[in-house]
Amino acid sequence: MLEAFTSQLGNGIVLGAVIALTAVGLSLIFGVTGIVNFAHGDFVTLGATIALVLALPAEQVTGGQGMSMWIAVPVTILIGLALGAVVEMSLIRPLRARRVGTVTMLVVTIGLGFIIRYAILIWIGGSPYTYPIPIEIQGTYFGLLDMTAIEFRLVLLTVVVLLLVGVFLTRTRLGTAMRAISDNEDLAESSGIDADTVYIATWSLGIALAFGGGVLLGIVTNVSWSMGFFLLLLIFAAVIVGGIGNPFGAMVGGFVIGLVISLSTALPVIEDHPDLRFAVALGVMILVLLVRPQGILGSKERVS
Amino acid sequence: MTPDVAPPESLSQPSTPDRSTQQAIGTLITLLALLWLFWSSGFAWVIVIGVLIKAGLYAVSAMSLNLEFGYTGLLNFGQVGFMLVGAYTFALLVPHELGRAGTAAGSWPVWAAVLAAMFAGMLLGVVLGIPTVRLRGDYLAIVTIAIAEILRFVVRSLPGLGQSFGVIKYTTSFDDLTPGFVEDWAASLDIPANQLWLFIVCWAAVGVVLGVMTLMIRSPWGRVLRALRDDEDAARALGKNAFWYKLQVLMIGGAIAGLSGVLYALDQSQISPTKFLPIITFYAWTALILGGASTLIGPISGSIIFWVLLTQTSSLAEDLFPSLSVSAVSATRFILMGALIVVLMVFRPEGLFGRREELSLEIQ
Repeated sequence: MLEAFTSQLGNGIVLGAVIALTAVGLSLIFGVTGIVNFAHGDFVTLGATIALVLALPAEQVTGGQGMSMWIAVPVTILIGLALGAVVEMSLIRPLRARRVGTVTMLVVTIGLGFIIRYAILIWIGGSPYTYPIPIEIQGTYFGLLDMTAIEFRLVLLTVVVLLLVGVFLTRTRLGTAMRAISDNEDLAESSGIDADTVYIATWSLGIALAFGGGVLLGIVTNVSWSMGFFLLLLIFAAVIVGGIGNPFGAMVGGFVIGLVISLSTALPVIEDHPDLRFAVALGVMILVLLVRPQGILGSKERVS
Repeated sequence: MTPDVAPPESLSQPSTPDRSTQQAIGTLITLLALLWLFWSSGFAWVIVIGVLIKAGLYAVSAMSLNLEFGYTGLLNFGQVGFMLVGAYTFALLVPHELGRAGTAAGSWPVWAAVLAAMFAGMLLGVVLGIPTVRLRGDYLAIVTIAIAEILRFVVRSLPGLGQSFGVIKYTTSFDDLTPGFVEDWAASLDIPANQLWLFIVCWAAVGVVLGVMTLMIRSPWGRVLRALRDDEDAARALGKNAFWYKLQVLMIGGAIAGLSGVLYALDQSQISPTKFLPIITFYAWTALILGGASTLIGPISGSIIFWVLLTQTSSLAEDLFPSLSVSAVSATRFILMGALIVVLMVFRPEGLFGRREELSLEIQ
């Protein structure tokens, strides 16, 4: 009984790290630009795929480079930063200039997601891949968490990254500008904040975090063309549970959703039907919308 | 949070100078799509009827989305969930075989099972609507897509619903209803009689739903919906109960979507969880946006054009790029669909038949 619990707790923390990392980006983009990014999951897949193609040799994957993971992953994150700026400047900014509504933006991101997802399918094909990383045996950490050594280190790294994002948002000029625009754009602009710069920084950071989450998910499971679209709903769940538009809420929500998914496998019916654990997580999201729509850390005015 | 300011220029400048020219062009494009379908299939009736069955059943689904989004401004991204509920209700009530064991069960007549399927869709509209219609539009989008996925997980897990093996042989009692003249007609066209019968039923359903939609939209009730869509506060100030109207829309839209689910089930020989992926929802959405939301004819025309594009571009791609693999060709179609969504939403959000002034694309 205790063994099953520690193993599920470990899984939950690892999955929670993936969701938290990706949910922060979704939450920032929503808070600052008002866009519900339905392509976010596909950006997660894109990050995992780029790292895969960089790391695997050409005989294993189309266009492979055979780099070391130590180089491939940082390069992937840099590509994510650049891609975020490109998406903002070439796609979103022209739409904003035309005063396109938020629902139009939402549907545009759905179309963008389709393009990315099926381009990846053509690129690497339909079968799953694993990164060139040795398989490890599970260990127990703090007497509670069952995970492999690399998973443990990645979870610690994720927590550090999330803390750095938190410091960035509260202690730097750009980060506070993001939160200011998220609160009240007109007031922020009239106090001298350059909204265009903040939009670029938000998309860059959001997509780079999605890329990082994709690599993390690819390491702990595998890389496949539709991995991110499935994750998207769990990211939404994390954002809503934590409080929509609040990046700190998204971090908390990510771990909550990860733990709900893994610990609910212990429930009587779900024990036999493991697919239902995702239904439980989405059910928790709907329950939060019902009883506390502003989420764990959200403020009330955003909801109505 | 960006303030949602309505674009003033789009209000002052009409999207097209002449409505009748726009409708003529829309009709012409639909006819050209049909012509392409005949020509590219080599005038094979089996292919033509097969594509038009899909066009018909997705037209019904898109009309339901049109009532919810086009006329009321509700974002339902869980349409496939309504179709799943309709399809399973129908298939489990008529004589069928279930799951891995192929247990035979079910005794309802077809007409009663269709009504039950529509009722089930309506019930889902209530269950989904009560907690969500008070929330902002983008929340509704997320919750609906989540509920559709929950339903798919539940169906995949519960043995009483056939799990991943699904339900089979539920079309028999529908096929048995094929009238004699349809059989003769099908024989002269050299196609299976049950396919022609389903084609007729599909398009009869399109006609009936179109008639009902026309009556609803032109009634005082329909005017209240548009008022809610365009300015909810003003409509509430006049004493209209926004919550109750939106709930009614989700119930009626749900019933219509349940009907499209029955037609979808009849078009498939087997239903199982993998037949109800979120992409089904986006097929219906693309058809709606293509034809034009907030118009009566838009979803029907859009569905025809979309299905001709989706099915016939693959044969075009095979002809043009013979080196592409089969999976790459089918992936190309989805990239095309994504590009179509983006381009339409940016440059022509009103679609073929719509009016830009009527579009409510702001979250309320």
